Amino acid sequence: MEYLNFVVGGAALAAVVLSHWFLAGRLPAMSGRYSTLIDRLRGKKRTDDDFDLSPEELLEAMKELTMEEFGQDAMDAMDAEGAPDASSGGAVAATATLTAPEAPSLGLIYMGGMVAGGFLSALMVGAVTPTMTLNGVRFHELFGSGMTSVIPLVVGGFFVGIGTRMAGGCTTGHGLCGMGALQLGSLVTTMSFFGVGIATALLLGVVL
Amino acid sequence: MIGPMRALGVFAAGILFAMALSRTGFTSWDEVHGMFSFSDLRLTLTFGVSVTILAIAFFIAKKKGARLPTREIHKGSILGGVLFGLGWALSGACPSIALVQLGEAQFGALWTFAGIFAGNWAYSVAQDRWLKWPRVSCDD
Repeated sequence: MEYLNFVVGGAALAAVVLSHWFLAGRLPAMSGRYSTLIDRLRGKKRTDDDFDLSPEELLEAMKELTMEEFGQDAMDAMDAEGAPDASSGGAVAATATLTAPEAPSLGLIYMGGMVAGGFLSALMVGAVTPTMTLNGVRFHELFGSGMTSVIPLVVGGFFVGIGTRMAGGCTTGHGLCGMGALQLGSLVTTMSFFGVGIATALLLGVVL
Repeated sequence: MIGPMRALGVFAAGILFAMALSRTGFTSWDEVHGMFSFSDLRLTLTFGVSVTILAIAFFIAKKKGARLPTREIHKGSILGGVLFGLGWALSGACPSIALVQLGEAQFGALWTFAGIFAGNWAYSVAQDRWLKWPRVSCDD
């Protein structure tokens, strides 16, 4: 299968990350959405330290709460005074403790979009070849083709889950966005996962 | 609740991101293995080009007053990255990729997804009970 060359592919990825800013009102990040979902399933209320609303989302949520609490009159009064803009929403985020019912459901919608996008992409190039494991010649060379090939997926996935939550981000949040924003924490994490990824892959070739 | 336009925007953002990841080859175990074992530098360069473009775009956005995410070094920065790197090289997937692979009908990704879910859950329990490390998230 033909993949995009690195110039077009790199530009496409960057463009998509930036379009995300406008379409979803924030930069993309996936591991945090898993965390949000799991916190919700564990029945934990979100608190300030892991508040994940963008100022725009926060403003929206607060408007809805105002509407519920004080009715349309208050909303009209606020419009007349001039509603706070998104930049002042950031200041509110530091002090407000409100749980955001829409955050987990939006995360699920986003996850659904990712699955749909994968399907569309495979459809586009006529490469929908269902497999109960993964496609890949080298993958099956190394791990066989039966149930044995599931082991690296479960075990690897488990490490990915622990590691991304511990590091507070994954390839997108730290690797693309954090590195793009020249953040030291992201550089350290990205170098760690790339370094160990390289070591693991080289070791796999030797051991298996 | 959520406005329909907002939900649609988020859904569209997911679709676009997934398609870019799929067409660059990040959803292929073989391609990712090639990246990590230096047998094919295409994905490494793709990543590099992407980060470079983003750095320029963010630099301009910052000058225009945009709030960008800040990521400081914390207790989990290195160990978290180490565990993630090990898992990524084994499963060929990061949290986004597992979902895109599912859409591509690579159903083995269900196992990866289950693993990620369990790992995230396990860490959140360990973190609450014993570690008490600062909670960090990429979501700001």
